[in-house]
Amino acid sequence: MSRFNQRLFSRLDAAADRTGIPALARAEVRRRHLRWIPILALALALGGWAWGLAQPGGTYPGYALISAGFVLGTFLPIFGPIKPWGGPRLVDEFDRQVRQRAFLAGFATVSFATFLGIWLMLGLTLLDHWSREVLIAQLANFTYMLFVLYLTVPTLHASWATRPVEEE
Amino acid sequence: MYRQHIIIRVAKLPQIHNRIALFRAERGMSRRALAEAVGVNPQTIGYLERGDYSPSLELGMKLAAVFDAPVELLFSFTPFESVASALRRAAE
Repeated sequence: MSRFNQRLFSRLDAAADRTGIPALARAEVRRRHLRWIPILALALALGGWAWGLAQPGGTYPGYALISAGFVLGTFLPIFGPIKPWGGPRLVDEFDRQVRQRAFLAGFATVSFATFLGIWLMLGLTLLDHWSREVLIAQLANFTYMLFVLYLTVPTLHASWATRPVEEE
Repeated sequence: MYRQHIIIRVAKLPQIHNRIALFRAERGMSRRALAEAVGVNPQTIGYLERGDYSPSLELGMKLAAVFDAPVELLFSFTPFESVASALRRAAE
């Protein structure tokens, strides 16, 4: 291999390493307690949903806010404290307990929010005489918001329920 | 009319105190070495030592086996006497 190609390939390798994706594949990502990012994601999603409810005619800004919360939320399972099922890393009994409790809190929150949201939207449909199109857009926003709840609440619970252990 | 009253008592789980840090220091073992010996992550040893987590019976017995000590010497429902006060008592 020529020296030029060697340099080129080593630079390409270094650039790929900087993206963090090879570290992800090698399971070297350092998981940490993410206490504020889930709150920010939740605030964006709930704010977007509330905006959509307040402005039934124009739900796009609300949809954009929920999307911002969703984008933040997608990173939480990767870098947060909850280790996934079937990953290459050792998941011991402590990790399983944290995960179990976090997902229990997450599912309970999603269930409660669904119950409240359905009745709230039904009430607003009757009071505000929403059209069919508005109701469909509201339901889409609400489902999207629920998905952000599912992504963020387990990480939020696990991050606040335990304190990080300092390195030896 | 028969009414049945149900009393729900929320029992607080007892905290389990341990001497893992003491035994580990005495043997000069790192958290990582102990974690590898019992098949958990080093952070879990940290949570155990800090008292934030009560281990399963299996993990408790594995830890006791590593230190070659009875389980009751390693874990207790009541706080252990500090080393300093035990030494003072022994000196008296």
